Amino acid sequence: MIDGAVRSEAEFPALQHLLGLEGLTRGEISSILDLSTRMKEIGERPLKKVPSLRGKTVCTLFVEASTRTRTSFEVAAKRLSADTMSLTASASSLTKGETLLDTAKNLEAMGPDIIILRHSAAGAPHFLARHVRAAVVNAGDGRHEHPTQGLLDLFTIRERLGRLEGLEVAIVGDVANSRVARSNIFALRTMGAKVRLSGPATMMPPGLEALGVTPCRRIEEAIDGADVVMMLRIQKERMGSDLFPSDREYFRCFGLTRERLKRARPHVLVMHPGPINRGVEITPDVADGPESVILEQVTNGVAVRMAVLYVLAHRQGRAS
Amino acid sequence: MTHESGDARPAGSRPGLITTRQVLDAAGVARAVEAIAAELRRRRGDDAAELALVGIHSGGVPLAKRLAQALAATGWPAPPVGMIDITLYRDDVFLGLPQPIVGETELGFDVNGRRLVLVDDVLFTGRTVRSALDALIDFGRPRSIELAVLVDRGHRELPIEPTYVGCRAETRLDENVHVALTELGAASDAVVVESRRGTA
Amino acid sequence: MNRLVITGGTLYGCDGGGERRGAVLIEGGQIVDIVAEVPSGFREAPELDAEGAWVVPGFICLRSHVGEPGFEWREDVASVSLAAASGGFTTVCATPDTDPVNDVRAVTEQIMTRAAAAPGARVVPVGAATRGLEGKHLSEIGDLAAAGCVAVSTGELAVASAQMMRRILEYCRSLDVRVFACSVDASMARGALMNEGFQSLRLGLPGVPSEAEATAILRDGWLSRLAGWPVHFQRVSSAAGVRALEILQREGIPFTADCTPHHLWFSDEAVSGYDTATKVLPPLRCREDVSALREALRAGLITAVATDHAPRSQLEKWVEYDHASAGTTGLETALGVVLELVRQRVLTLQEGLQRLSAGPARVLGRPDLGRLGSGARADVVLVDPDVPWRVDGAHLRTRGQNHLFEGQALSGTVRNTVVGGRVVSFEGAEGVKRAYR
Repeated sequence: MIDGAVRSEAEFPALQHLLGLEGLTRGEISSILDLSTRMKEIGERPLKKVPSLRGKTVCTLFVEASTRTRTSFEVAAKRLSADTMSLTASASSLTKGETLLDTAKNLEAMGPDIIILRHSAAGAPHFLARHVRAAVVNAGDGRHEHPTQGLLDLFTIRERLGRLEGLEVAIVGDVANSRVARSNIFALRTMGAKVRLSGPATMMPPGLEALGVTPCRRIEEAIDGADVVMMLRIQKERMGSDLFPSDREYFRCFGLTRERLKRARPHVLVMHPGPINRGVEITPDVADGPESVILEQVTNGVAVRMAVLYVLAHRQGRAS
Repeated sequence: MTHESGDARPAGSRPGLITTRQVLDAAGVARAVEAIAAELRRRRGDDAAELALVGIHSGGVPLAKRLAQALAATGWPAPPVGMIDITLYRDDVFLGLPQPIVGETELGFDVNGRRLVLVDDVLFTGRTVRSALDALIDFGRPRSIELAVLVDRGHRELPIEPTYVGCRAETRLDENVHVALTELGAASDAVVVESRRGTA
Repeated sequence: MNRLVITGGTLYGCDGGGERRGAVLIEGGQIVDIVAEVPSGFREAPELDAEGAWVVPGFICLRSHVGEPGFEWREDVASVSLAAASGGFTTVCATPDTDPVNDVRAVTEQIMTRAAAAPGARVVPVGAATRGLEGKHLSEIGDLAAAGCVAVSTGELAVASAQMMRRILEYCRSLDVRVFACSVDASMARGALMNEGFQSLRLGLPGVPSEAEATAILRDGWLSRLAGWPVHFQRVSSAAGVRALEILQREGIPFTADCTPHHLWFSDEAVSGYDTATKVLPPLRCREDVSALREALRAGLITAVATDHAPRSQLEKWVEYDHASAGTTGLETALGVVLELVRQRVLTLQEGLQRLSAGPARVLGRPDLGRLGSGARADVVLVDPDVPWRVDGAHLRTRGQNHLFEGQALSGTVRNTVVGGRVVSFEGAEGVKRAYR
């Protein structure tokens, strides 16, 4: 539901799981962002912990490695006093030919309330959610969605610019293969922002307009007058494949330079989900410049994930 | 609904079956706040040092501000007022609150060494106060914490008693105490007991 | 003397077309005659009561994955034979993607031996056109045909090398062997999990565009003109594929084509939620593609509905969408789908039945199949046309556990299936199904 009916501006999200941002209402997203503001304040206290999720167990299951995201979720869970356990692909038995279903069932036998799944296959969290009682959080599934990244991006924009409605957001890079792009597009559209995309046509699948966004052939068109420029990470392993010839050429055509950034609004925010390939997607002086909120995104990630865990733990409690 | 007095309001009440009785009118609320201010000043022996007020979201916050004004009106320096939300410290948050919206926590002062007065609108089971004490202590080590409430409606479930009380109301367990304050959108201040059985 | 009389039903698919009433006289595995009054010679013969039912030629599936040898946990010749019969099919063409691949006489003979003992529908093998279906070296196609293969298949995707495809067609022309091809460009299909389009964009699943089908159909069509031997295009799935067939037709290039019941029914919107039952090959396409396929089937550009019955165990489907095995069962739901198309006036009843029987019989070049008339094989189905039912995998006879049509409301059930004059019995069929559970 991309331009679904707007209920109240803040309604407590009726979520059993967080599998994606597509389909969340404006009120639900607003409510999570509001809650994130409160959660961020906890991170600024001398004692960065509240007892809210005491006795709840949060399990991270990372079938695809990502130390940053896993750590962010674990910090979030611990700040809410949840017990955490973590399985990674190399540590778990998935590498021994055990299926995801087996792993999930074994995990479930330990009684987690929330399972946070990172997986290279799109839809893996949906599959898990059908087979376990615990609430499932999608921490990135293949090329599909990365909903907490999308939420933290929206939170960062709203905190800095005070609103989302009507903003012009440029997303540049490997749109076709980016779960970050997908989550941001769904949520930004729901919140009334305008989204422009740019990247090599090999990474810009036909039919993008159907998502309610404007594809731009050149990066300059996308950046022109933008309030936010969001750069996507380029998977260097794709270099020399059929998508783009070299990082040098990519930077020349689609890299964010100070010169290109001049086309944006004066208050522009520069964002990147990390880790950055400096000199490929973005020049170091822009990545570290005054417009950059890249490190704030990391801080906000913990707050947003606390909000998500709180919402889901609450729903779990009501369901049981 | 503005108050967060520790008891979730039971769902399914039908307006036609609710009867109400007023415990305090606007003037009564004002007198109660003044009485608390006077009592606080008396008990502190005119020592305003390190005093700070902390209102519990949401009803306690405007009351704490009024109490600060009332103290200032007696010639004391107005004490700093902070606010605290205890949703994340509740022991019943997973037991069926329909909208566990978390309010703002903003103390604005260092609690270490302070002589704090926690302010709330209604004292009922004592669980809200217990949560607020936990929350406050997470911010540091105050020298002391006292408790001021506008209405004590009884039915305590924990060994918690107020230091300062605006008024006491006899209530049944299934009744609801509603504190209307202009800061929270009410037309005028009042304390009302709502009874669903219509036999009050 | 192996006689059987079918009485009381409404007959379709008789020589001369139309609808008629009468008794079907069967002797020695053949239809002897269709008569108004049962003659004295047949008074003592066993009688099959078709009162209230349609009596139609047995259905022919040009493409089913039989699972034997090598994948018996999915299905084997015996279980597919019963599943087919229970769906009204009397002849099932078995794809060569077995393990080992059906690219040598020994494998064909094994299937033929098992088929001879099959309790239901007749199972006939289709051989592999190239060794191991790898598209590199011709198999001994003459030997395969002599052993019983009714055609050869080029595999699940188009042969990568155009020159190889040309050689296959030329070689088969010299041996008079039919060539079945799933013409989809392999380089574009690699890694794809669904149709490329708005839904794949939403779901973040890599897609294959329908252009992969259109370009391969056009290439293979032109190669078939060069080689002078027609292609039977299997499981055409898209509007682009249909447009390509129209171009071949305009060019005067002879061909035949089939499509599956699921591509006539579902669009890629079914993939939302990542239900692995929706993972099939070629993938489910858009609504416009479904409409185009229905129209091509009506217009006779596509003359056969082939189920592409591909049974899978739960193990192969209860995994991530990426890792799930593609395919759905289809033999027991095809009739219901075709009758629903008739109900929706996409096809007339005659056309619908024809796409399941005479159409595929013509592809196989078998005038003795797909019709009711003297001299035809006694493959007959009794259909109760108006019985509504809901697809429930637990009650299907296939061993497969992957039913894309699960839960769909269909109407029309099979009362009896007669294969070569013998009424198929389903006694003991449960044991066949459960053997591998």
